[in-house]
Amino acid sequence: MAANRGKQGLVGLLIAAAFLVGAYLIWGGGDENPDDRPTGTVEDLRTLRERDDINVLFVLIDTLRADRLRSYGYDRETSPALDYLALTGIRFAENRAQSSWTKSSMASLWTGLYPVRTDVVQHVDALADEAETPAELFADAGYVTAGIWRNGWVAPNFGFSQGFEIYQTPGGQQAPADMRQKARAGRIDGTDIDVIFSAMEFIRAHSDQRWFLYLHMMDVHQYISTENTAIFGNSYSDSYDNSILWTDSQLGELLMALYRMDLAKKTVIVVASDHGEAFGEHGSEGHARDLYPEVVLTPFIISLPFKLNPPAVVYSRTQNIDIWPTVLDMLGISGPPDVDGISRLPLLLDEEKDLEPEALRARDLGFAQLDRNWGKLEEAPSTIVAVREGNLRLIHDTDDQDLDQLFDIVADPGEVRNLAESHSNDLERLREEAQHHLESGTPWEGGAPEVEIDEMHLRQLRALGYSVE
Amino acid sequence: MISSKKAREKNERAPSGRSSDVHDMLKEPRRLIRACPAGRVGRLLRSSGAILLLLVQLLLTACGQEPNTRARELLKTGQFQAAVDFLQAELKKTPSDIELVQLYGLALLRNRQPSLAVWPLRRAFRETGAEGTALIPLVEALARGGAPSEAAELATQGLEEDPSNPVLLRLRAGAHAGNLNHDAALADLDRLLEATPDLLPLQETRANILLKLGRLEEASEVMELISAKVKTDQSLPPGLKARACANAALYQHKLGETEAAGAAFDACLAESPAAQEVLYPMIEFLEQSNQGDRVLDLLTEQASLKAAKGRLMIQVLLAAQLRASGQVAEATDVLLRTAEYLEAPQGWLELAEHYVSIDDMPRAADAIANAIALQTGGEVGYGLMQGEFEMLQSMGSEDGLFAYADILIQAKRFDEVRRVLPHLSEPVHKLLIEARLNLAEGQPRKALDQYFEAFKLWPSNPGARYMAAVAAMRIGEFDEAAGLYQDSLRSDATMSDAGIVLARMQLLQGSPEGAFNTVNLYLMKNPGDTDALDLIVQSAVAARVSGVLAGVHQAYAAAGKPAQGLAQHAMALEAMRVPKQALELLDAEDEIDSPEYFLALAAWARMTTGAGESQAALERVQRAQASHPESARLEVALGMTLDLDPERGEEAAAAYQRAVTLDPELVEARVLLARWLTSQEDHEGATAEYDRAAELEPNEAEHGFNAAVSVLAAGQDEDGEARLQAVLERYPWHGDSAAWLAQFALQRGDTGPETLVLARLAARMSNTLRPNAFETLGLVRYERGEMPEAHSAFQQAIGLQPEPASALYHLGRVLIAIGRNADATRRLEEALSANETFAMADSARALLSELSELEQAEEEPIELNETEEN
Repeated sequence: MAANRGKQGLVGLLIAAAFLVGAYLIWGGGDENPDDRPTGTVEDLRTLRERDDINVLFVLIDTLRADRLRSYGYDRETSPALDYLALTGIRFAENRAQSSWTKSSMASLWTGLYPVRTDVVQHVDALADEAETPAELFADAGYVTAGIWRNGWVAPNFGFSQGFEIYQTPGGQQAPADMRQKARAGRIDGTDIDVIFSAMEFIRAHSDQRWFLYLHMMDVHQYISTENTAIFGNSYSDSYDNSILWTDSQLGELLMALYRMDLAKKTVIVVASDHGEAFGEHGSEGHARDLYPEVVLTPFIISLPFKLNPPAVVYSRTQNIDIWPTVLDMLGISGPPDVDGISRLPLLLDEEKDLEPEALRARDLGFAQLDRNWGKLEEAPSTIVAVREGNLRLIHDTDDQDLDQLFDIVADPGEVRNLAESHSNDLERLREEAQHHLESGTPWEGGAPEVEIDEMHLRQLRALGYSVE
Repeated sequence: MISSKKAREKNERAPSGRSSDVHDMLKEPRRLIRACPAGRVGRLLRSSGAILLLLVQLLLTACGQEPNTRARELLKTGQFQAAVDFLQAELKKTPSDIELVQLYGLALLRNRQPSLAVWPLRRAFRETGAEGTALIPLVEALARGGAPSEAAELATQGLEEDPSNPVLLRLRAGAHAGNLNHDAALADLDRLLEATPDLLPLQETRANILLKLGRLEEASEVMELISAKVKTDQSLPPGLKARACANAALYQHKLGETEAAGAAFDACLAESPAAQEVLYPMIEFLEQSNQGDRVLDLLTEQASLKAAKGRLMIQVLLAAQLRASGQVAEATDVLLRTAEYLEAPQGWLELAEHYVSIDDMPRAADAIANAIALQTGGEVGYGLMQGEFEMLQSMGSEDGLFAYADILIQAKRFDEVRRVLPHLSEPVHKLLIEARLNLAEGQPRKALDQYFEAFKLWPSNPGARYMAAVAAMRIGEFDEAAGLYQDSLRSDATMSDAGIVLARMQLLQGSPEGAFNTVNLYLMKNPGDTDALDLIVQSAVAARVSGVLAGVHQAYAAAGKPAQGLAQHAMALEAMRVPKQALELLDAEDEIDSPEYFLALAAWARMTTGAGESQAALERVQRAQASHPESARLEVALGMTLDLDPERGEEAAAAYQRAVTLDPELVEARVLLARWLTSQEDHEGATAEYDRAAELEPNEAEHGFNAAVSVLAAGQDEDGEARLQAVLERYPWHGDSAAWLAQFALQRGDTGPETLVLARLAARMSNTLRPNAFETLGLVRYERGEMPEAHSAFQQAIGLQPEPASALYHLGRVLIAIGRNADATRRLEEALSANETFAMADSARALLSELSELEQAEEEPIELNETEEN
């Protein structure tokens, strides 16, 4: 990734031969590539909005950091299926989530609003009914909508089922026994095989209809892998890579099913993640504790109903809140007004040069946010806000601004050299930007509603490893 | 929102009658062939058109071979997986056959795959509408398949057509309850109860929901109704009656009528003696109403009843209570008698669990062996026969066998482990047991390799990560070990003290920030762990971060240890050289003269003495002690204050002795007395006190180490060395123990790999002996011919030692060995300059002389005289 940073603001085009590598990786050398999608160019993106047969498959791989995918520069072959999608589609090279905690991040991803504007920052907060979600827009446009999820933070009682005809958390043991490995790492029921099998049944049952399907996969979060995919070593960090390979293999199965059912030619696939995972880079482990790059840099890949040749790599910095404005724009579906996310379709179509300076500046500004006391109702909020502007990124601590940290994300992508003392003007300017940002409110009255969480749900959330009081 | 197509579309579809099916089949003989299980019949069919018709008719009669008929047969006979497989194959051919789609959904539902069943059933429902038969199975699939909101919504649609359908009402009530929509669930229950008012489970559910809604009076009415029913209906099973009785009592409690609830529970027990349906809620009630002290009496009484003799859980509860109150032998007795009486595997397994909890692994292993023997039809007390392993394995008790093998290792019964090993069928279980066995038998390298292999299959096993870290420590892979402890911590911080161990290692290696992060991570899952809080304070002091101390102080208070928190906070401030703040903090505490605050009081006295007011300090402590003459803690505080005056050591010792007499379990008193005894060269007495402290605080390494040092001081080298080895076994990070052990090994001339690991560990993690540890490491390296490493070790020793003559001398020898004679000369001269009478001074002079001669003669490097220091 670091090597690509010089090309910010551009759509980079890779050589066509690259995707043959991906094809080789996903099917192996001997078999014929079952992907018989036609070939298209970026210009063909303009045709999507004319079509009335497009399905949308949204794959959210929980806890997936971008830099652990081969297509994002990793040196291990963790992700042949995802790489194939990237090498035949669009890869957004530097994408950030809006939080490192699932619920807050997903509320922003779905609505295109920053956490301060969804107000989903505490564990009892729910996405307000007033929020307009892509699922609702797809349902209104005549799509059959379904969500299959395994993370309790996106449960229906938190408002995330809005717009889905069926919003299902599959029970364990749905997949055949001979497909199943003992989920040693997981303390939650089942594995992503259950998601994939349920998805396959959904697609099988609705192959002649137009659908929007959301899959929220959890095996990376749970570090689940199998004997065949545990190939990278034995440290925790290696196990994380193993689980990515396992999840990728499951996704590969689903892709194969789409190809077999001849549906890939009319399906847009969007891949993203809610946050990354820390391995002690800044002293912490896991996620939902801070906003450093290892927990907010996430993948964003779009696969199209045609093989993009040459594939596109977007080096402009994007955010998860841009995902749906971009995809809806591609499909010609009007999104809600007054969202923070922006469509990157003009960028892909090389139309951003016509934008006003203010709009261009908005494209160079991004925020992330975390209330470190999100699981502790008894305690006051302890909010940190990350502000990215140009090459600088400030992590502002609202408890004690002396702890603010400023980084040059180009010279120091790992964010280890704090420039707060040496760049006091930038520090002050971005600090003001953060404080101003925190004064924003929800576009609707009343902020985020609070919901009752029963003990069973709390237990499920704790089983994910979260401390919730 | 689930919608359906209307009848118009359905009417356009061909009716699915038998004659039509026959017609279709005649047109599609191949389809019929595939539907029939017998391939030979198919070959016949292809032979002749005339025979074909006849055979078709025969087949229709013989094997009902319309796909939907066959599918229904499979479903009817409970062959659900076969039905799923069959229908999947059929649907590949005719994906739009809605009848088959619906049957497929039904097959998945009955095959316990409701999440998958949702989609075909939903499709069938959309096609056939409310008039079809997909509705109820779809509602069931949604409710059981992880979509209760949609189940409720769809059930509502169905109930619009058929308002009193009890199945839909029940499904919807359950779905509403699952969605915490209590009002709606209650409404459905009321409708169901209109038809079946006597159905007790429904009434109980209703009462529960009323309670959740805070409608207490109505809940009470329902409970009265249930009670009345229970009393009058003799046909109800005893368990149901007991449960209803206990629920009624519990409701009284929830209504705030504690006394009435207690009386009601007593009545229930009189009616149903030793009934677990009563006993469990009653224990819960007693604990919630601050009558926890009655639980042991209640259980003792109930467990002694004849009716309780065969009820395992009562005995288990009693044993747990006994254990918690320190009556371990009594707990063992209860469970042993129960296991012998029941003659059932579960009884022995409970006993085994009890033995594990009291760390008696040999007996735990015996108990499990008995359980397995009973499970497999054998007899208890004879160990396990070969056939029993195989039988157990075939019965699917892999996890039990794995746990058994693990306990056998902890019981050090390695031969038996080897008998179990071949019967472990899961590769990861086998690897983990082999690894632990190798570790226990002194093969840590092999163990570590096996652990690494196992982690590929079971990455988040916190116990295995921990044991692998121990293995890595034993072979000197200290960084690897730190990573493994870290992995264990992040895998499950509650499973072990990995966070504490890692933080100690980080502190010892000069990384207080790392220790701080580690302990923080540990405390997230173990809030209130005072060992961890102590470490946070140590880390903060080492990192000079005073800002966190107030928060840590609060955390001690939240853990019920405010006095300890105050003392730690104040002593940390003192260590950070802000004694004024520390004194202010202590002065602000009103309770500081009370026994619980004895350490804070002693700290105050020390700081006040340091400020020149020793008399005032002593007088205050004496006053506090006089106010509580029976307080061992304040005797300790007094002793510590007296100890500040070198002239009053004996008085201090007398105070410590009184403290030990008053409270034999006060660790601080034991340790301080031991120190005084050591100062008086009463090493035997000191050893006894340290040993007792180690028993009282098994997690504190220093007690065992100090006992070992006392033993060594008494001249009992063999015992001392064995004790140090035991300390290192228990605390693999204990660098001070390693330093001594390395020194012993070196004295014996042992510079093998194990000595090198000890010396390296000491150099890295010794707390008090590090300068010497580096010198020892240098000597070990030198003897092994590893001169660059020896050079580095001596240089570090020189940097740490206040009087580095010896290290300089050894460095000089290393320099001679590598031919740097000029540098060697300089170092030897420095050694003599630092201390001209140090132990190797004569050798140093001799070497200098030889070097001088050599320089004059320009000869080859001299040979070393290596006898003196080794």
